[in-house]
Amino acid sequence: MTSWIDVVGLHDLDLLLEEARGGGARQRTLSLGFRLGGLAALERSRVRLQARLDGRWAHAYERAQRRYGRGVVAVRDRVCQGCFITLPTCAAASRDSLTVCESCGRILSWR
Amino acid sequence: MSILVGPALHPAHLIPDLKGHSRVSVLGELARQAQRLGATREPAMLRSALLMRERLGSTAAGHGCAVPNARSLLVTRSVLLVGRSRGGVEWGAEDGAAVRLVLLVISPAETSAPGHVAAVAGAVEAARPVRARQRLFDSDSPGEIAELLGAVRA
Repeated sequence: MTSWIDVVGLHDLDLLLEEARGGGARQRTLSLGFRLGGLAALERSRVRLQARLDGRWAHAYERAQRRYGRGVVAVRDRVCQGCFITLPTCAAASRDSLTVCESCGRILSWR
Repeated sequence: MSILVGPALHPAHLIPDLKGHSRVSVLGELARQAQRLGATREPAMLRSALLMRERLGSTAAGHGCAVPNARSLLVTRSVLLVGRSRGGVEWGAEDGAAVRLVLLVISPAETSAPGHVAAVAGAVEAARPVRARQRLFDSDSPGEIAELLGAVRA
């Protein structure tokens, strides 16, 4: 069973990989003198983490990631921080439950 | 873009004597402090994100200073925490120096990658001049530390 810990962990790892893979953030980090030699190991960690997700959640994550650049978004004050729709009160059974925003399709983090 | 350090550093943003003796324990200590400040509700997950960043490459910036950092879904606002270790902590620095000054930079997931790296760069550059670094090591005045870190933004 997929847990919110795995989904949020994958999301945070993707944020880190975004900084490390290329573009201005990578160049700036290197210019500060930091080494990024662990990139290949983190790519392998991503594969392992993604394999722990059930097919349904892996699919929802990748689809939202491709479409919006982020697979998961936070919920603050019952508002999806991806599309800013107010979510119905019945949307989350508990803070640990995984749900998808019915408006934009991103996975919601209620924590 | 928000200022991480205001005109006066809140004393809760400064841990003058870190208890941890390893990188892992220091990061845990800082994550728990971030929780006390209301910047995260999940210190264990924040510590995991910080350790993941260390796996990418040590965040030791040399001369006894480290700038661990993370962007996370479980961080609710950008925060900079200052921690000092009297004994020093092994941090995998290229110059081999034990880390005595830790500047933790955390940002919410909504922060762009360049924005987060700019905040990290601000912390690194604030601690780079020898005199400024020495004052960050020694000063007990939150006002002086805030002044030294005043340019750090996210």
